Amino acid sequence: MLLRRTLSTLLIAVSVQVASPAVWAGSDIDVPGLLMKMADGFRMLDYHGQLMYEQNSKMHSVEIVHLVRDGKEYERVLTLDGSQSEIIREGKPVDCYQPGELILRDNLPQGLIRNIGSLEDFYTFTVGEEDVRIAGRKAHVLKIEPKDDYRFGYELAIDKESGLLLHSQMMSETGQVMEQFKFVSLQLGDIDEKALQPVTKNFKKIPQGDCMDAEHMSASSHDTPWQMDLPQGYAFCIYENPKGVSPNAMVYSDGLSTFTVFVNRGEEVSDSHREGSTLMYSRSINVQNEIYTVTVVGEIPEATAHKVASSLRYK
Amino acid sequence: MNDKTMNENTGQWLSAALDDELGDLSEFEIHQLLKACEEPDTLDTFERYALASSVLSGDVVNPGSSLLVGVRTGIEAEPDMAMTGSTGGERPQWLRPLGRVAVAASVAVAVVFGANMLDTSTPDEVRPTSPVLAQQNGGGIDTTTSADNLNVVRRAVPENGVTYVSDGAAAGNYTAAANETSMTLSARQLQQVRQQRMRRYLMYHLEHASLNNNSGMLPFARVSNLETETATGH
Repeated sequence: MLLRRTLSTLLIAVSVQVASPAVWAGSDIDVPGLLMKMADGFRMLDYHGQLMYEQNSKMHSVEIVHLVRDGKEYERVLTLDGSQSEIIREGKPVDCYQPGELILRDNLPQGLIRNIGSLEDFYTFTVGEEDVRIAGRKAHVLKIEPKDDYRFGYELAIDKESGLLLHSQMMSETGQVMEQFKFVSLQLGDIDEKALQPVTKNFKKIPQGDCMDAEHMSASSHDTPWQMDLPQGYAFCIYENPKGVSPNAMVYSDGLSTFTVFVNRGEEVSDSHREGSTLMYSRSINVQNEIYTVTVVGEIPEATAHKVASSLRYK
Repeated sequence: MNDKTMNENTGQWLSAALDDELGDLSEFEIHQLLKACEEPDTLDTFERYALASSVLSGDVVNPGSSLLVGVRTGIEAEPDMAMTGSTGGERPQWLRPLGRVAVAASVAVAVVFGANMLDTSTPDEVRPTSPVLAQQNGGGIDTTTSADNLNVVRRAVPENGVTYVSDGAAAGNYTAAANETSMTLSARQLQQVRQQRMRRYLMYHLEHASLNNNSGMLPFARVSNLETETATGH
């Protein structure tokens, strides 16, 4: 099947601007700076650790390795419980930014920022007064509460020294913990490259994603023929015709929450359920006398998926 | 229709069938594939694809095109075949209009899988020579079926297959044995197709979430059994 990648974007501006030094709710800590430090931590640091993932009282553990060599990222993820499965991503330039990363950095063209708003328009950020200790390291606590029904909240513990995210809890509309990641052991720096070697035969390599370089800096438009009503704050990231996945796939993010929309021709069974914290929402709709099935996948409330899927139309 | 003029999509769908990638197709596409299989030339092409595929893998092939046509005939003849879940409960009203398409699609999957599985064997084995589900008879479906053909179908059904039951009206149109066999196959395959597709959607989403939500590879921790069957490991 033909693979046609057509990435273009609304976003765009790769020169890394210095974020506003605004101080957000309840602390003298620069929250945008803290968020950027967190994002940079994942992309720029060498780390090797084991983390626990918990959802609905079910828990499993994962090993994660990340190294930067010659300006490129190399990553490996391995499940530690049950059957071994492994994912490798390698060669992503460390200065290669994805749209969601630019949103977090408030690094979008001015016109677009006015359209989608900034993170503080959709979330309230509160820094905890007391530090916590995770995997033997001191961390800031950052509480992120949504201001509408189209995204979930988070409670994060961010390493004071490195900025790496050590603990993340996703909160439901009622304040319940839906899922959490938590490092239980972590080595920062001085990582042996052997740690990147896959330990399984059938590891999977995943694509690194296209960078938002000057070529893609067109505020004009993207190639998707589809248009949807997005909740404010979400921006279009990627449009693809991925092999073996769907004729059309579109990714949207507000910088913290990400969802993907798949569009298939034809009528299929409607459904809405969660795989862990990830919503899988499908419904068929009539677009100019053609029936399509829209599937929205993401860590988002059902209201978001419903709004997006029910508004599918041609441009 | 011939190789040169055959619809490009049909060629891709046939290729997917031979590569065991029917899970990549939507139900609509499977339905279209099934429809295309009514064309003799399409089946000829399918046979050539299958032959080439099997020769490359060291097998001998006989796709048994009449099987495809026969099941198609059987499905089309059925006026309103909706399924219920394995619990036997009624399907929600909003699902019912989809039932017939779902059944047709799932049978298409089953049959193409079945043809693929069954006919890459030695030429001396029993071949299907007539439809498994034959012609419409008095408003129902005559499931007069040769034992050989029924056996062929049954060989494609894992013993632990999920059993779905049809609506009461439709159930009466089948002889018990044929109905049970074909519906079990259909439901299981349909479920597999959907599950595979959703799994691919999930993995695709996680790949892009890991690039766009500023938390590195953490999103992959969400799946305890990371999908690696499409591995490119070396």
